[in-house]
Amino acid sequence: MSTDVKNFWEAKDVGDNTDFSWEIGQLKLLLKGKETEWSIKHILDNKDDNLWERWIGTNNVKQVSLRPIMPDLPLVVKSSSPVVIIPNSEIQIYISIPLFVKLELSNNSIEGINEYATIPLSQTWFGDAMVGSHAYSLKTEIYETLNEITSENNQVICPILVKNITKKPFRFERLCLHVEHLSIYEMEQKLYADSLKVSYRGEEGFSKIEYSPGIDDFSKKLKLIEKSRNPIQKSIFKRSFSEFQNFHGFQL
Amino acid sequence: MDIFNTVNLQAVMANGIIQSSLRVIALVICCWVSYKLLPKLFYKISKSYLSDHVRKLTSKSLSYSIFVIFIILILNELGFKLTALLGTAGVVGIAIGLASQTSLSNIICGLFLVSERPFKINDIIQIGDKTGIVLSIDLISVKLRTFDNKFIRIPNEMIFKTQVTNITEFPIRRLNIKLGVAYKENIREVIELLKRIVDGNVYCLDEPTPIVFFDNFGDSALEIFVGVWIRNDDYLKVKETLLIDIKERFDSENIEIPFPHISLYSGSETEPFPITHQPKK
Repeated sequence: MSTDVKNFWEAKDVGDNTDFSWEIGQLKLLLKGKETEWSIKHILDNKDDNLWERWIGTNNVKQVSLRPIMPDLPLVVKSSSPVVIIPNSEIQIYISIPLFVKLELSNNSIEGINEYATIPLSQTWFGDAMVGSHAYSLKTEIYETLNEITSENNQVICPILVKNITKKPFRFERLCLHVEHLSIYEMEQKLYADSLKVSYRGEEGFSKIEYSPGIDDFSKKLKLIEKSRNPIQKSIFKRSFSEFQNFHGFQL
Repeated sequence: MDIFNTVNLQAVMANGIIQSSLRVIALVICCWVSYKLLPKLFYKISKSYLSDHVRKLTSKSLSYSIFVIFIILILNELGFKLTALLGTAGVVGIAIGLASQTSLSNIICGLFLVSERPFKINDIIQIGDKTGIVLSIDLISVKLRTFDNKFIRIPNEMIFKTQVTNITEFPIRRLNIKLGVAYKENIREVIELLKRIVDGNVYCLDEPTPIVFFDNFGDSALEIFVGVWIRNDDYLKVKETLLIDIKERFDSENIEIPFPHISLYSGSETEPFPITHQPKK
């Protein structure tokens, strides 16, 4: 499959006995089209343990496309090295978010589209063990300029401005990104997410997260290719930073 | 005239009986409709502001109350003297009370359970050696469905007196695995390998951080404790995949998981007891 971003996301005609395969990240997606049904299989991380899935009654569907979509859970981004932000200062960072993809049919009336991760993501828990939230974990480099990132076709570049508005230095180790609110844009063969401005308001306080479409410098060139799963107003307040309490006590 | 009066009296009496019967029938219909409808109506409209088990319990109490009130009204309509009836009921009540101490105790314990709320419907709880999903919390008992699809009824009094573990109260929990490796193994390398195995399992949560440490010098093995945090929903997946991962990696790295054994020494502290295997002739 071509790695050309435009061609990759384009719809494909499906007819009798047409086979397709898409490869993105560590995901391989196979589709076999027959007269009245399709067979679909996905292989992630070379683990070929999924069965062929039959989709019946696809007579009226003439086209199928693979669309990029943000992961279905929040993403806890862990910096490989901690960054300390002194009071009343800010840092602009860029991170790569691994995409999910969804299989979409040309017939808009059909819902229930399959979604697939493009890399195996490990799971984590963000917040307290009694009331926290389920999330994916991502250990990544944090880049300070856009040029440093070499993003693959299964990654979305997300610009984040982190502000420390407290009176204490803020040790930034992990950030919970609520990716369900982020849309995806395309520009010059690369994918970008909405820009975020996250204001750290102390350990106990909720962070203020402001969303703005794309990257400010290129906002006119960006083309929206996928709306967010859960669109929101311009800003929300959510717990975004965490110093997780480890549970050292144990009972055998 | 006498005959006329008698006929008239009989007609009046018959009329009274018919009216009384009609009133009783009306009461029975009202009782039946209220008994069937009101508790269900309450159960439906209280959905948004009461928990499932409180709704169930209250609607049941409501239906019992409606039943008792209507029985009293019907008896009254039939001409029974309620004062005498209540007096008799008092005596009968004492007798029933003495005979049904356990039931009353269950009801009172049920009320405490409702107010304390140690678990709710659909939680997975462990009481003694019984584990199951809570089907209902009633006035007298709690009903469970076990994982092998058996129905268990546990009296509220027993639950009140026993230690109850609510497995699904919190969204995540720790899965504890104790395993042993042979004394000849390099314990540090084994611990590092176990940490890598846990990291590689996608169902094990990265945080809270998994715990892997050398726990004890066992009788037959060096005992290691592995504690991984998981979501309640993933319990079986983790248990199955992690144990298989550990066994496969230990096999590929030639790490021995010893079975319980005792070494006997003859004459020397370090030399093993000499045993030779002789093939069958």
